[in-house]
Amino acid sequence: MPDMPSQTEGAGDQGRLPQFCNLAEAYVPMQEYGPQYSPEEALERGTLWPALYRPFSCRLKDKEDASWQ
Amino acid sequence: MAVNPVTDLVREMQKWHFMALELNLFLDTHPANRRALEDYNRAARRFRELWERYEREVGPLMDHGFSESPGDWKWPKGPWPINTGI
Repeated sequence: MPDMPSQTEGAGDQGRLPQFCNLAEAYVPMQEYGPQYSPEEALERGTLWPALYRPFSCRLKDKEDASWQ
Repeated sequence: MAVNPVTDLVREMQKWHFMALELNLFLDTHPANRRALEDYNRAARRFRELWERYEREVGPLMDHGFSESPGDWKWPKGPWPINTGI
């Protein structure tokens, strides 16, 4: 199996797929009741869950690679 | 940074409203999760307390029958959201 892209900050290892998945079917891992941000930080980040915090950041390399720019 | 007590109160309400919203969404897909339910109820209670405090100290948050207006008609009186600095 090829290396998966590394998770962003806080994503951790939450969310589990079944041990055996049928080929050619899409799966969405169920969220687990994991760590939470404080109310203040949740409002700032737009999510209560560190595991779901995916800030968009466009790196220079991505910009150079993006054909649509 | 907050500039006045009303702004602080509104900010506090936003925080707990967002907590309740996030836990609400979790419970939509995990309705049997007791910890999530307890946290949701705590957030909802905190939000309601802040709501009641706002209406007591500042004024009605909703019109059309959702909030009472004891004494006089308070709805057109400020501060409006644009006056709270949020």
